[in-house]
Amino acid sequence: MENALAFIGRNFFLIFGLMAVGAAVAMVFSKSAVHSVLSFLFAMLSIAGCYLSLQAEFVGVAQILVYAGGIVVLFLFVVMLVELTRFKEAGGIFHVQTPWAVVAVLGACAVFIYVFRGLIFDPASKDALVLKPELAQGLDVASQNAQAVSRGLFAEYLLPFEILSVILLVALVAAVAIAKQERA
Amino acid sequence: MDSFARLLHLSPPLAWMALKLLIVIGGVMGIAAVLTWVERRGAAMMQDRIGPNRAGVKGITLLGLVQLAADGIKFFLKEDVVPPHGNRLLFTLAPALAFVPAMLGFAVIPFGQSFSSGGQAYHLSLLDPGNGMGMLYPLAIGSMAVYGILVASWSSNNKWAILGGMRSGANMVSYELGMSLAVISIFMAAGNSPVGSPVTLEAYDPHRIVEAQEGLWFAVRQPLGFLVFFTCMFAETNRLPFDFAEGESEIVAGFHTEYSSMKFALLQLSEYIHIVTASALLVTLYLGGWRIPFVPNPGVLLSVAAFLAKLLFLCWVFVWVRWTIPRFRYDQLMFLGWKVMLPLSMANLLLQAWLMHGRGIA
Amino acid sequence: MRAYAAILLLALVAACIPVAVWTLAYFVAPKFPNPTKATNYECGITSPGEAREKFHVRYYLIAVMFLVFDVESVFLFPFAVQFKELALFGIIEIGIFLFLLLFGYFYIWKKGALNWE
Repeated sequence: MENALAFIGRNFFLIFGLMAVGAAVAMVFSKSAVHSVLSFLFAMLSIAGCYLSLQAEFVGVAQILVYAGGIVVLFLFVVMLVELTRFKEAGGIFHVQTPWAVVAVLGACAVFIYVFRGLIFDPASKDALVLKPELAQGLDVASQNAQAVSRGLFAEYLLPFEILSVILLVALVAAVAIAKQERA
Repeated sequence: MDSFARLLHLSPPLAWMALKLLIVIGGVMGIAAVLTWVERRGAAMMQDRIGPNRAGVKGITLLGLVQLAADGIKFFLKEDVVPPHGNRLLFTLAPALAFVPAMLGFAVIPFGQSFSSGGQAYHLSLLDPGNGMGMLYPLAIGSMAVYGILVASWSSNNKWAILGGMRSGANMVSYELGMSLAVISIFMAAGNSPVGSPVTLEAYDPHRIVEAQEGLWFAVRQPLGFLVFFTCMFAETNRLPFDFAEGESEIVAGFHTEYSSMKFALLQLSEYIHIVTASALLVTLYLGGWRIPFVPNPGVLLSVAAFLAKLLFLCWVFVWVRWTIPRFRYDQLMFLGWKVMLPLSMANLLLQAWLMHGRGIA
Repeated sequence: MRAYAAILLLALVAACIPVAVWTLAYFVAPKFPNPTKATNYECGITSPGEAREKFHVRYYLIAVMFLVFDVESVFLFPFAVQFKELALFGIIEIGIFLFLLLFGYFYIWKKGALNWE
């Protein structure tokens, strides 16, 4: 019993990761759109579990707040909104989408490999993952990871942070513009 | 106290955790169950009726409390109708989707003063302080509450249900913004107060937030934030004046129109559990948690009693408001959420930042 | 994993309660299926049309606006916990961030996206 518990405790990342992958597969292959969205929700929660098992609690909670609590709600609304029963015969859009989806996945893989090339091709240089150790100086990162995030966000990466608010502004304006157009 | 301490030493940490788990689950579900009785008796009192007073065992009615047991048995003995035109799997799953997040929300709330026994600190919250999630955790779990309602409504495949589900989905989402912005100003204030406990706690740790309210409760220091958070809690729990999930005068019973038997009971119970969790959040964030005014160290028993008293009072306020204030119209609800609560909470945030800066803290 | 065993246990117990309740209700509850009972509830009349109707686009709009402000509030959390250390500089930074979003907020207000017509 104790051993089994300890084993589970050591491998939480693996368990949550497998759950996320399983949910993602279920999302792709399920017939009903609402089932897909709920599998996506489960995948997002599992990824939040992955973050928690890596002691990045702030990122984990933000993952739940933004993805599981915001984006999935949006998806669910959209699925309910467009009434998918009428799209059943219009499966043709997937013929257009599939090649682009493959291109997007390959591109994402290329970026991933480029960013983590040090870790993949030269595993000895493990510090490839530690981006800025000086940011965490004087902080117990394990229990103060929101402060660590904040130091990076409001000092080192200030410009991306401010640009982000412009992106949010664009999203807001675009959504209103599209919705208003549809109403007219 | 001595025998209590000896009892604690006997137990490994796992047993202490199991004890807290029992307290949390039993406490939350117990209060939620009694709350259904309080609701009916309270409604009767305000409407000059008697309320449930007949159910009893050999004439013992306990002011109608036996009605709870009768209701529970009746829920089990009723036929469970699953609409064949809906989605059977999701229809069955939806009550669990509503129930599990409702139960999880309470996990970080400190319901009493921490104490140490035999050189070991015992914290009266299911998750010990310093867990890194703090008060963000109930917010995150609270944002999951919308799925139970949306899935229940969609899988029923009933017009009333879907209307209710969509309305309450948009409603909960709108009021979540004001809520989280109000909480941010609490974090700012808590981060600026000196910490008494030896653990380095994040500013959003509930233990630190309670610690920071030693002098003045946050409800006094941030009345605007309290008002916004208090209002948003009614929308988040789908209670009147914001109960557009049900709205029995317009859409029959809203998202649970097609529900019957124990599935209905689970949905109903999770609504009451949400009320308990919302009251606990209000107590912890704004009403000093387990603190008693002018008593710096109330001790374990008194602090738990104080927390419970505040919690029960707020639960009563939820019932009180339900039978006092009529339902809003839906456009009024959106007006209040987007054009009043959101700007108010943002103004509160900027005001607090400016005040703290003026006092030379930042 | 730190103290999360407690949450996992709580989730486990919380998930077990509905399962136990379903099982018990399955064995205890009576079953008298009936075609009339299985029809859609619509105040007694026969249901015209599909229940899963097309919904108005304003629900989608609410969800998008919520998402934008939700992301904003998530970025405000690290600011709030580091408020003391960031000092005046942090207030100015967050002021610029909020100003841009408030600009968007007033835009959607003027556009009438916040009105529920």
